[in-house]
Amino acid sequence: MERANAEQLIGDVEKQRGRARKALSVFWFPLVVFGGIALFGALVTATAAPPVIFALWIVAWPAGMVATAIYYSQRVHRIGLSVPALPFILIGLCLGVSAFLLGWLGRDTRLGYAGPLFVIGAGYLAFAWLQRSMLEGALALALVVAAVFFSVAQPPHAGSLSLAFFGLASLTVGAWNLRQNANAE
Amino acid sequence: MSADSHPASRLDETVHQRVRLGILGILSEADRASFTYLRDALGVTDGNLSAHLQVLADAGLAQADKEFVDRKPRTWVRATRRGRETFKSEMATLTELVTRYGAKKT
Repeated sequence: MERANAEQLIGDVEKQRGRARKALSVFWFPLVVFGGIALFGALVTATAAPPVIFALWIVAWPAGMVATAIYYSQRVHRIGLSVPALPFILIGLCLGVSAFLLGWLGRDTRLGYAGPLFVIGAGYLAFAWLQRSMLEGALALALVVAAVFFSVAQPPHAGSLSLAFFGLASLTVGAWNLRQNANAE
Repeated sequence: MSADSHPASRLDETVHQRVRLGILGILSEADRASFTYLRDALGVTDGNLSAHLQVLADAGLAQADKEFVDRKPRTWVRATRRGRETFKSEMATLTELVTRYGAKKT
């Protein structure tokens, strides 16, 4: 076999793999959903009593997960490609439960606002690895760094500020990813 | 087979073909791909793709499953573990071949 043929074959296959990878590396929907929930949560945290905040998260997070599952399930049939869903579901569940518990048990302390942000950042890092996305990885690192910053600086209204940061960062990266994949969508 | 045998002798006859290697390439990124996705991505006809999938299935490298969505049949294709290993090995052999030819020319 000639070198040119081998090179062309490798090039063709890598092009197909790259297209499939790009089609699968779409994560704008959960970022927009959870970013929106976090921004609303920031507002609620600044103005409402703890039971209302508790009620918000106990309803909003599972609702966000169900919406995300429906979106990806429909997308699989639309584009005709899928990856195993179980790792994503398990990470999402662990992330949601641990962020909720840290936020609730550590309320009024820095564990209550920096803890969830750190856990979400770590969870997003796992998602970024699964989807091989530098952009999602950058968002995850920004969340981890912000968690450390909030923990050390302890600014006033840190609970609302950390949620607002998570919400805005998620919406920004979500919009960016949507733009990147506008044709595929 | 000796370790320093010519890489061309290690090419797998079944997967050493543009469409079949392309199918396994796509399935190295995805858990499963629909028949329609593979057909459009590889630019082949239904009959052509079916024939290549049959070759891969007969060799135990891929398997097809049919499911119904809104009463319409849809075929999904997966690579078997052996299919994934064969793909990796084929790509490594091709890369070695390119490297060896490149080294000889320079």
